[in-house]
Amino acid sequence: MKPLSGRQLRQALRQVDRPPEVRDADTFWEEFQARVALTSQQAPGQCARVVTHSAWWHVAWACVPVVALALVLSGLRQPDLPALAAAPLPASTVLSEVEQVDVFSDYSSVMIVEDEANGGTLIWVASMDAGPMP
Amino acid sequence: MKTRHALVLALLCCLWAPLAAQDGAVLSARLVTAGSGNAREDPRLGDVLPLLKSTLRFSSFQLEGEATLSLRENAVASLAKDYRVTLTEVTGPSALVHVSRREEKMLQTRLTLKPERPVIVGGFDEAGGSKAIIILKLR
Repeated sequence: MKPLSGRQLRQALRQVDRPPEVRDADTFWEEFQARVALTSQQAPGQCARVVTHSAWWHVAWACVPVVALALVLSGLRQPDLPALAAAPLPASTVLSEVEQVDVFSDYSSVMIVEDEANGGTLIWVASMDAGPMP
Repeated sequence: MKTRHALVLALLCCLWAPLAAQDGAVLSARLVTAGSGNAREDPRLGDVLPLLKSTLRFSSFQLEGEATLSLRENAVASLAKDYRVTLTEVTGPSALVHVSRREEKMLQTRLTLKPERPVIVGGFDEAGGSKAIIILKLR
């Protein structure tokens, strides 16, 4: 087989692969700028930082509502009973109750006085030489 | 390191939360000397003064000492003049309250305490005809 010359080889290659169409520079840059305007790019410093947390971090934050609930429960007081217009509540349900009294010194009498108006109870042990009494 | 800190924080919060939700009742005990001398009203007794005046005929009320104790078994409060208040058989707001002086039992009473509803225990003899009273108040 007779080898091809350089000129014959170049002609054969052109027939196989046609060279790209050459465009002028202005057309090229116009198309380039149009493609740039379509694609938004941020400066490296403005890129959003992707934060990932471990599972334990989520567990820690899950305890926040538990703590908040505990704070609410500890701050709640026993709700007051609504006032009854018809009759007042019995004293035993309002005042502290005295269930038992034992005295270990000499005394003449023991009195238990419930003062509803002032919300208190008195346990008075009168000694043998009693002073001012209620 | 951050993960370890978060884990410790989470465990502490989970342990503390149920404890915080419990009732933190505190009992205050005040030793007061009631006398018939010159009228003196200790401003620190302002919350119970109407009760003292309505139930006792003393003209003078002087706060000698105050202590607080938790509503739990064997809680002890030491007051002035060697008075001591001890709690036993505590069940919720109910307790057996022991009043002693210089290791000598003077009185014991079983109380079911209501918040802000004081109980006055007295009158133990003092010098000069005055009486010692102990005011117990659940806060």
